[in-house]
Amino acid sequence: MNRANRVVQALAGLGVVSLFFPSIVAKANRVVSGDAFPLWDLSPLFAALLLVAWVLLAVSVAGRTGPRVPAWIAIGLTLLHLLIIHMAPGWLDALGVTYSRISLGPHMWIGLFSVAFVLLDLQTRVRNRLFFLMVAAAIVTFAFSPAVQFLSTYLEFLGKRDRFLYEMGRHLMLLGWSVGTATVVGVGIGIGAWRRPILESPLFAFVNGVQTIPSLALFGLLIAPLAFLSMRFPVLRQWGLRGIGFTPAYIALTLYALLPIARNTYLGFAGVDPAVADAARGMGMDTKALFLQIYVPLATPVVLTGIRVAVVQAVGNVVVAALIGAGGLGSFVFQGLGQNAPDLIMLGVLPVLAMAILLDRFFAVIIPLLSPKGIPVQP
Amino acid sequence: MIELTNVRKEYGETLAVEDLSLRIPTGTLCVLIGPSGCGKTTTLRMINRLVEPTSGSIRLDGSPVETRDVNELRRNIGYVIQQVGLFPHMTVSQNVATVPRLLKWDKKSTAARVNELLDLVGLDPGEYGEKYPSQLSGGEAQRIGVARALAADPQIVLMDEPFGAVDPLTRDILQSEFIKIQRKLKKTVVFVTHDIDEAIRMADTVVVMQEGRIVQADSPEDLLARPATSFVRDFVGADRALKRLARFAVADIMVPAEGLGVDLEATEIASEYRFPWVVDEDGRFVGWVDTDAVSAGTTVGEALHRVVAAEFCLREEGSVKDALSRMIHEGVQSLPVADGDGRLTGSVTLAAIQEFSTRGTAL
Ligand SMILES: Nc1ncnc2c1ncn2[C@@H]1O[C@H](COP(=O)(O)OP(=O)(O)OP(=O)(O)O)[C@@H](O)[C@H]1O
Ligand SMILES: [Mg+2]
Repeated sequence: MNRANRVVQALAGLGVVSLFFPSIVAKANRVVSGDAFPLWDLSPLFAALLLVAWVLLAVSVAGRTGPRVPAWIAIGLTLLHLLIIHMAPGWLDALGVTYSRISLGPHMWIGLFSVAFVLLDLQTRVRNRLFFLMVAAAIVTFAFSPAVQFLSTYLEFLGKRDRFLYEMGRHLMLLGWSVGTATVVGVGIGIGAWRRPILESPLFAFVNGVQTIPSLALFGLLIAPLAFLSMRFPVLRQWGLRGIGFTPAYIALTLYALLPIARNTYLGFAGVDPAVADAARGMGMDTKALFLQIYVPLATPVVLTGIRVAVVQAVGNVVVAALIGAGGLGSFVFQGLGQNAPDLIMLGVLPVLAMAILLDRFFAVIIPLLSPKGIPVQP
Repeated sequence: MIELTNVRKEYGETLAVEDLSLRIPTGTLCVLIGPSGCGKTTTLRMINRLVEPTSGSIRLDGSPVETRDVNELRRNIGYVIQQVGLFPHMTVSQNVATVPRLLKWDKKSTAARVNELLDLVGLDPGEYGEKYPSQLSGGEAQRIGVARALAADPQIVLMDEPFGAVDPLTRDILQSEFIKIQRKLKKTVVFVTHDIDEAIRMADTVVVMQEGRIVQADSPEDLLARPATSFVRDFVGADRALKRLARFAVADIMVPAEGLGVDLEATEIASEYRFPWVVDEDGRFVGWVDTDAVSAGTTVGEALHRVVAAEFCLREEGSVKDALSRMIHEGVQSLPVADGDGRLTGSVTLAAIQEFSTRGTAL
């Protein structure tokens, strides 16, 4: 059995364990902590179905069957979890519970988490597009379920819709600016290190060094010098340079995004087969043609993969930027942590997760399209 | 004509090539051979200026290479390397079209030339043109490498162990195909190899190098007959007499021969041999008879030991080495030679091979 299948089995085990935790929390209002119900109390049928599905998933990857059977079971698990939320208001009514909002309990979070990872794991092996369309269709259909009206995270969203959109925009803006800058600088560093081997070790010492600083510390480290600069030179302050807020976040995020991009650019160019370059030179390609017609196309997929890694990492890093007042979806997370309001945390975390997955998928599609044909590109 | 005069290349302390002088006449194939690190690649790469000599001069048809624009020079010299170095992101056609593209040929003549070259190296343009290098076998890739080097019809072709990375069978095929191409195109070829058999097979001139110097430059036959130093003698191997025989064709040593007719009466056989050969009415070789075993009153046809001519007879273009090998294997003193239709055209005797070989070596 290979490693990927063992991961799926571990996740299936987690799914089984999750059934021991409360599933749905019914609350009378936003403030009270509410009553937690295990799935066995709400619907023994669904509890049994879930148990069977998780066990089947674990068994299905044990044999030599391909990823198709586990994929179908994973889709079934997705549907089951969504259906449980859909049915929850009815089950609570039947038990005579009064509530105005519903939160998901640990069972649902762990279960959904496990399903999501199983799906992510399988999607690299299942080539059938139908698979993803079905998952996407299930989620979209679920959005129209009346049960959504009671979901506390959704109610948080309703209450903060304008701020949510604003923070989402800020999140994307920080992401775009930092990774955009890091792409320009990182590709420059990568090519510089490749062309001038003398520069290689100092450049990478710097870029690697940045990565070892914890993100919060890096944000913090930038506050003092930037605050000093902005006090010392009013003109910089007019341009928006401050010790907290956008500027330090932008700088720190850019520095973080540099490593994967610079490293992959270097690897992409240095990885071009020397025999290919020798043949090109020997046939009379000048330096410019050699660079543009040989090195750039051959390095492209590796460079793009670096940008992909940088983007996905940055989506998460931007969350931390909220701590120094840069805004973004992280502000919900830290506000929620401060108020001990899990629903508010989820309002920040869920879109960040979705963003990371969607951007990763986007690159998975775009990289082969932008890469020259004839060379293998990892999906 | 390629002329290297007192060419020297130093890499810091390392002396890669030391005062090397060599003339390679137009239209000939010169093989550079020698142990690893003796400077073959360095010498080759100085011709197209991938390496600049420390001192000395290299001239192509009289004009010094350093006076020409380096890229213009390289576009007029074919270049084939062991690792092939096909561009993985370009199709076979685009790879072959590299130099024509650099020379800004128009699309139509480039496409026509690509097809012509793929045909030349024995690959169907329709089947291979749109493939990518990752879809080719090692032998196919190397053919494309050769086609790419010949694309703009350069007069000079440099080849650095071009067939060094393929299996022996494929190498053999590639060698004979390249020999055919070379007979047709008559390029001036500088060919680096480690393989003495390959050198002897391909070369007009073999240049044996040792520690950056030439120790002997000769035709393969002379090199094998008279190795200049003990180093060369060791290098060409103890079987050099046999290797030398490989350079000559059966036609070079065969003598006319006649066969008995099938209708001949056994009693009328007047042969100096015990096992005379037999031919049919059209002169085609059909077998032999044992004169000691034929009884009176029978014809040659009735006493005949039939053999398949194509298997038993030598061919005029076959090598003397193979003829000798056959004689040893069959335990015979002579073998018939037949043409493509199986007609007996002559014979080769063991004594003739021996005499030929000693004469050549002792001469
Ligand atoms: N770029 C270089 N820098 C330093 N030394 C070099 C360089 N290229 C070659 N040499 C040295 O020059 C000598 C000749 O090298 P060369 O590559 O010409 O040998 P070769 O005959 O082609 O060997 P092989 O059969 O292994 O290919 C070797 O000692 C090698 O180490
Ligand atoms: Mg070499």
